[in-house]
Amino acid sequence: MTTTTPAPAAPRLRKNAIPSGKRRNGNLVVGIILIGLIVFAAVLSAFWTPFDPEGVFPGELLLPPGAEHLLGTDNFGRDVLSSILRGAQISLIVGIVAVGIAAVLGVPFGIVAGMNPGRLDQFMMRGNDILLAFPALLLAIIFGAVFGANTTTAMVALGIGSAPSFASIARSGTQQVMSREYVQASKASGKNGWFVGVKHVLPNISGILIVQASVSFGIAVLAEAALSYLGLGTTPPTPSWGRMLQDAQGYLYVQPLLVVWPGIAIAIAVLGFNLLGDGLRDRLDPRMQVKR
Amino acid sequence: MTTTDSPIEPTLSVRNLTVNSAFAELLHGISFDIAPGERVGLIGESGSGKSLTATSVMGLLPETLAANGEIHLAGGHGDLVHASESKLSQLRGNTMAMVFQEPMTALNPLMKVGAQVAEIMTQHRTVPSGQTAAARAVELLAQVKLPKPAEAALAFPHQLSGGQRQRVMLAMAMANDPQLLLCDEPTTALDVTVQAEVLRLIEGLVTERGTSLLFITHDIGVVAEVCERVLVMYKGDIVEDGTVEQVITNPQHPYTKALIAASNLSVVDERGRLHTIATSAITLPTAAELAAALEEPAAPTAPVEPTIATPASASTLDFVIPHQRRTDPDERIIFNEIEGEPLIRVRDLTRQYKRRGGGKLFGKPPVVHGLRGLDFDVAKGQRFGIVGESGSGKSTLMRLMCALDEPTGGSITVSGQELAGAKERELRDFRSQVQIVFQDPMGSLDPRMKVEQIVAEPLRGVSRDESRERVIAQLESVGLDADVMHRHPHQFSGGQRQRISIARALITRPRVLVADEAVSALDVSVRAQVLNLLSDLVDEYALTLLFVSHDLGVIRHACDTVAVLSDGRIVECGPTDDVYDNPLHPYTQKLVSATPSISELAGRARS
Repeated sequence: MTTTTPAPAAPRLRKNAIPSGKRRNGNLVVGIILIGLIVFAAVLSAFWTPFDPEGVFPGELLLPPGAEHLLGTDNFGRDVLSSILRGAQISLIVGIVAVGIAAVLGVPFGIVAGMNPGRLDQFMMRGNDILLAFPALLLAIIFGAVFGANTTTAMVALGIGSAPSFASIARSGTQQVMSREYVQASKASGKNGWFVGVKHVLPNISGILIVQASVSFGIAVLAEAALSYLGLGTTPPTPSWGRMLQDAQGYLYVQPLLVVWPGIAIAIAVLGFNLLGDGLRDRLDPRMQVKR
Repeated sequence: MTTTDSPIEPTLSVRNLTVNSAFAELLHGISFDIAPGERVGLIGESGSGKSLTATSVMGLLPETLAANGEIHLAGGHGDLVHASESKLSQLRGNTMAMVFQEPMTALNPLMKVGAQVAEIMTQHRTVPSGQTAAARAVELLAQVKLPKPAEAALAFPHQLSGGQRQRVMLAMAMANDPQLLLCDEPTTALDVTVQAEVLRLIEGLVTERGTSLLFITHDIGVVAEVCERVLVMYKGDIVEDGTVEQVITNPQHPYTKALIAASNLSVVDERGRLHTIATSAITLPTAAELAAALEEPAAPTAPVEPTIATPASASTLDFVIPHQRRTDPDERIIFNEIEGEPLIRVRDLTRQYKRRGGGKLFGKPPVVHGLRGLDFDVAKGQRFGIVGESGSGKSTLMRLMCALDEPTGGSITVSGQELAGAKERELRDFRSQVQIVFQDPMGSLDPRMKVEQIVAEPLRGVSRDESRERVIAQLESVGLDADVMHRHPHQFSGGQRQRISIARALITRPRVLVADEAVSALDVSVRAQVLNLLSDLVDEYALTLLFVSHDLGVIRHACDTVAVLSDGRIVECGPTDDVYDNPLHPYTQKLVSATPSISELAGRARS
C-alpha cells in the first residue's frame, strides 16, 4: 500500500480529535436541562400536583403505575408522582442553603489563611483540619439530637460540616494565585490585602470553587436523603426523597418500583449539579472562550 | 525546497509534511533531508511550527493534530507518519532520541537518574542484562561530563542543577547510539555559562559518534555554535535553507534578513534604535504580507522627537561612571558612588533565608545567603543594569527594591524613603514612584481582568472617567489601540501583553521603573520592539531604569551602567560598554565569553 501510488492517505485523526469546545458546552446544556427539570418540579408542585402529596387514600395502597397514578401509590395510598414533585422543593432548598452556608463560612476563611502564610495560616488550617475530620453527617446527627430533627437543623449542620472542604480548596487556590506576578505587581503598586483578595484571588479561584459547590450540592442532596432516611431530616408528612426511600424499603418485595422513583430523582439532581458545575466553570473562564 | 540529492541515504528525510488542527493548517508541506552526521539547526519564532516538526518526526503529536506526508529514517523503517504506535515506540529512544527544554519535568522525580538512563537500554534490550545497563549508565554519565558519575547515578533529579539534569537527559538520549538526535530548545532554560558548556558537549558527542542532529531553537547565536546547516521556519514553512555562514552573512528571504537584524542587539540604526522585523522588512516586496502576518503592531516608527534619538548606551549623565571591580570577596566597596543625594542608595544590604526542613528539630535552621552586603548608588536618570545568573541574588534584589520583601540587614533608600523596616502605610508615596515590569507576560496580568482594569489598577482616588482617559492615553503611548481596553489578556500575543504591563507600570508616572527580565520570554523580533519602546519611554518620562537580566546583550542595549552580581555580591560595576569590552573580574570575563554574540558569528561561523 505504501510503495504503489501516493495514496491519498487518511489524516491521522484519532477518535477524539474533535475540538473539545463542543463537549464542554454539552455538559452545560445537559446540566441545565436536568436542573431545569428539578426546578420545574419544585415550582410546579407549589401550585399543582396530580394529587395531594400528603393525602392518604386507604383504598389504593401500593398500586403499580397506571393511568390514574402514573408512578403508582405508596403504602399509605399516596400518589408517588405528587410526592416526588413536592420532594424536589426540599432537596433544592437543602442543597442551596447548605452550600451557601459552607461557601460563606469556608471561602473567606480559606482565602485569609492562604494570603497569610506562616503562623496564622498554620493555626487556621489546623483548626480546619479538626473540623474536617468530623463527618458532616455525624454533625447533623448531633445537631438533630440537640436542636430537634427537622429540615433546618439538617441544612445548617450540612453547611457547617462541608465548610472545611471549601476552606481547604480556597486556601490552596489562593496560595497559587498569590505566587503569580500580577499579585506582586498589585502589591508593588500599593494595593492592600483586601483589594488583592477580592479583585485578584476570588475571581481566579472561582473556577475551582464552582466545581466544589456543585459537588457539595450533590453531596448535600444525598445527605439530606440519608438523614431523612435515618429519620433525622425532614419530618413527616412533608415529602422528601430520602424518606420516600426509607418508607419504600419495607415494601421492597411487594412493590420494588417504589425504591426506583426517588432513586432516579436523586440521581438526576446530583448528576445535573455536577454537569452544571463543570460547564459553568468552563463558561465563566475568559480563557476558555478563545475559539468558538 | 532544497533537497540534497546525495548518493548516501539521508538519516532523516521529510517530504511534504503537513500538520492540521481542526481549525487550520499549521505546517504547510515542508520537506528537508538530514545527511548522516550532519548538524542542522531549525530556527523560528514561537508558533512558526518548529516544535511541531520535531514532534511529528517523533510521532508525538497531540491527538487533536493530524499529520500528513512522509517521514523516513535511514534503515528502511517505513513511513513514520503512518507507522503504528508500537513501531514508533521501538524507534523512539533507540534509532531516534529527543532532548527537551525543561529537564526537570522531562525526568521522573522519583527515580534515580542512573536508573533512568539504564531503563532506556533495558527497554530496547540493547544490553544483555540489568547490571550491564547500570554499568553502562555510569559510563554514559561520565561521557556527558557529570562530576563523580558513579555517585551522580544514585542522585535524584532534584539533587542536580539544571545543567546537570540536561546532561542526564543527553545521556539518556545517547544511550542507544541513535542515528538521529532531536533537541528542542535544550539550553533555553539554562544560564549562559552553563549553556555554553552544554552546547559544546552536544556538539562533541554527535560529532564523535556520527549522529545526525536536528537542533531547534529561537536563538540564532546558539545555532551558529552547534550547527553546520540551518533551516529557517516562518509561519509553518521553511523559508530558507543554507549553511550557517550563508544564512548569517547573506540571508536571502526577507524574514531571515529581518530576524538576523533583530537578533543583533549591538547594531542600531541611525536613530539608535534596534532593528525590528517590521522596520527592516518595510522596504521589501513581501512587506505587506509580513506586516499582516506579524500581528504585533510596529513600535512607533515615526520619529517621536529627534532629541531622544541618541543611542541608548550614550550616557546623558553629568558624571563619569567609574569602572570598579571586586578583588577581595569580603572587601567593602561602594559601587557607582554618587556625591550628595542619589535617587537610590543601597548600603550593606543583606538578605538571608532560613532553610525549611533542614537542620535539627529544635536547632537553629540553616541559613541561606541571598544577598551578602550590597553597596551601590543609582543616580536620577541613570539606566542601571543588574546582570547575573540564576542564584546570583538578582531576583532577591529586585524584590527588595520594590519593597516586596524585607531585608535582613542594611538599608535601601529611594528618594529619601528608607525601605528597610518601613510600614506599608509609610510606603504609599514610594509605591506610586517605583513600578515594576515582570518577565512572564502570561503570569503578570490577571487573566480575569480586562485590560482597562489592569492598567488602571495602580491609580488611586481617580474618577472613572479620568481613569479611562489616562488608560487610553497610556495604551497609546505603548503603541496599543484604545479599543483593546475591553479585552482579556489571553487575547494578546506575548509582546502585546508586555506592552500592557509597561502601560500599567507607567500610569502612575513613576520615577523609577524596575524591569525584571522584561524581554527574556519574548521572541527575537518582539524583543527588539519592546526594548525600543522601553528606551523611548525612559527618555520621555525621564525615568530611572533598573533593569535586571541574565542576558548581557539586552543589558548592553538598555543600560548605561551595569553591575555584575555573583553569589550575592557585586563583583564588577561600570559603564556598560567598558564592562562588556574590557571585563576585569574573571566571572564577568567568563560571562561575556559564554554569550553567543551575533556580530562575531559571521566570522566564526563554520561551513
